[in-house]
Amino acid sequence: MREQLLDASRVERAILSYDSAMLMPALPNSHLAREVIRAANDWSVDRWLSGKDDRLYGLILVPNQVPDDAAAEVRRVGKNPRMVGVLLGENGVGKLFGHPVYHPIYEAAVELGLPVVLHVGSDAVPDTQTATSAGGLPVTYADYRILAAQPLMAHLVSFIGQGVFEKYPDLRLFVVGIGASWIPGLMWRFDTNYKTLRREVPWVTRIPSEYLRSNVRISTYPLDRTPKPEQLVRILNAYGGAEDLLCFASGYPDWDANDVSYVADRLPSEWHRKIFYDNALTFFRWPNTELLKPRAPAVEVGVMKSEIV
Amino acid sequence: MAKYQGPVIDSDVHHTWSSDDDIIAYLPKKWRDYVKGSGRAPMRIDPPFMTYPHVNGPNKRLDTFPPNGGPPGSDYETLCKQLLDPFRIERAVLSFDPGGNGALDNLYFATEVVRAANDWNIEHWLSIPDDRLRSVVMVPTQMPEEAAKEIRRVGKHPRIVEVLLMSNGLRRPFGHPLYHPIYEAASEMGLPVAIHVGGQLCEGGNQNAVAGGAANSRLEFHTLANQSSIHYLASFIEHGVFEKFPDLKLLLVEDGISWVPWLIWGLDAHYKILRSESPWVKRLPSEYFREHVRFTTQPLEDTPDPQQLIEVLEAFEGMDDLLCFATDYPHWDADDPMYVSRKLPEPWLEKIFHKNASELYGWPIVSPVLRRQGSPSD
Repeated sequence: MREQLLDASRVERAILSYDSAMLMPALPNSHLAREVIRAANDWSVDRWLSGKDDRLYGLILVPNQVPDDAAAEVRRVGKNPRMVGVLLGENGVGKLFGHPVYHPIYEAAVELGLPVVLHVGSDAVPDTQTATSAGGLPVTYADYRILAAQPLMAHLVSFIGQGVFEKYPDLRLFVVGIGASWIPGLMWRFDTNYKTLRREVPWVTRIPSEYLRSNVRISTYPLDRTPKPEQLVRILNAYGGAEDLLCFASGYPDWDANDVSYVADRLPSEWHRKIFYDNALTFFRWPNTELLKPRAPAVEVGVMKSEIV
Repeated sequence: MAKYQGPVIDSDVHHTWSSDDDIIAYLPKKWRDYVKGSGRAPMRIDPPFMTYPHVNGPNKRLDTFPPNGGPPGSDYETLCKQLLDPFRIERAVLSFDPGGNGALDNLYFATEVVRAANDWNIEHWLSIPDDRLRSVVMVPTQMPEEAAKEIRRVGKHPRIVEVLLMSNGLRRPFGHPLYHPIYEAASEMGLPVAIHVGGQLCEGGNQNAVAGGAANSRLEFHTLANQSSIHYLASFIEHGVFEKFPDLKLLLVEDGISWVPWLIWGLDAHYKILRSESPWVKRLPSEYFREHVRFTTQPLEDTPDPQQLIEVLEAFEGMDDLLCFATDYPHWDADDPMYVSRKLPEPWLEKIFHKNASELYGWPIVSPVLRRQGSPSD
């Protein structure tokens, strides 16, 4: 990793995000899931984050099938300064991640100033009992890989629609592994529907795109391989502000990993500083990040008001 | 409609029966007895849907309830008065509401209800001497061979112009070979296949309406409702449906359009892998897409500035050849022609309001003259 990624690409900080270990939260035996995840986090701290290379940071994997256990794990491991976020991993309860059943995890994350990471593959294995794509299962890998974006889109919509960012105004969500060209298509549809259906979710007080811009960041990996690079930039510009939404990620060592120069070539140079560095620097909880007291919610999430605007 | 004065074709109008009795009358006797046995309430002929109550009550425009009773879309005069006449619609494709009857759990009963609805449709609506009316054949999606028979039986009618797929009866994406008998029959009859959003919500096909878990509000569901259609489109290409049936056209109804670049670029980018698994995919996915796939415009994404949507479509090298105007009348979020003509560039309007649909349905280019000859409401 040092030779192929860290040194070769001059990576100053790398967030280690596990690989297939992220499937463990959905193990049918929830007690086993909790224990192997604790073991994995301990191993991660001992093996990778104990100071051998100070470019390395990690994510806390959580046994999300029992959200209280997951919150306890966030509090147990999250004090380690080299842990910079919470990895939700596989969908353990089988509900979209904005569902209130998962909220104890977000409460703990906010308490420790950690962002939550939603990684592609969240609903990929039969253990979840959810589906990795809508309308039936995909039958080929190409089909699977492209549509693996769908559960992440649904989880993101759920975070916003279920008022997670109202209940925890300081919660930050990082969406990883599905590129970026989907953003306008999903968010404009969401914004359009919000105008007419918001009475159903009065705790969603702002148009969905505003939550995306204030609380969510999205990985560049895998950068959309549009026929011409300017096509991606053009549709991101049509949505606007992409340079503030995206954080570089390589995806190393996945088959479709992107190296720095590939991404740099395809995105405007004026965006580079933010996407390669600044955005992640202000988003993750790095050592010495000053922890602010989390803000209280301004609305009561889940409560219908008799007077509706 | 100051901006656009040409003909308008509406590719998605929802019509329905006043009462279930209208359809039950068309069932064979044994099934009539099954539905309406003595001493009990009749069984339902519409499959239940997942429960996402609408904030308006029904998911219809509240002004579309006909004055003499019955649900929105059940009365021809109201339809003329609210839609066809004021917006100068030259052709309207009546598409049931929503047409998921093939998803009733009892698949034999479902098949009979679908046949009855098609017969009722022809006698009740398509015999009205109004040349603006066209309609679709509903099919029992749980029984593709029966569906193919139904297409061959009903599809000969000159005013039946499309095969409607609504419920996902076999819980496989619609490009799956299980469904190919439907496409063979549609191809044979020269009818495009339309997939209407929402079919995964009903009994008999209910699964994976949204990836990752069930949405918890109508807002969230409605936003994600196109996920299935997105998968169906990918599966049509992946399973080589357009190689197997080179004349087949697919119309995606009510799915929005601004997501299209993401999917098609993604498919093209994965072409090598796609080919290794699906060697029958001989051309770039985008080529099949542009040749075979069309979209209805409604619900058009309401971007802060209309130019933002246009910019996405232009970055994708245009979709003006692929869009067919639709109102979705009488649904709550219906778009009227004035709204759409304000949102889209003027040079696209002739294509989107009538030329693309005429080509899709194999009609000569319609003109206002035709309407005046055929319409009793003038």
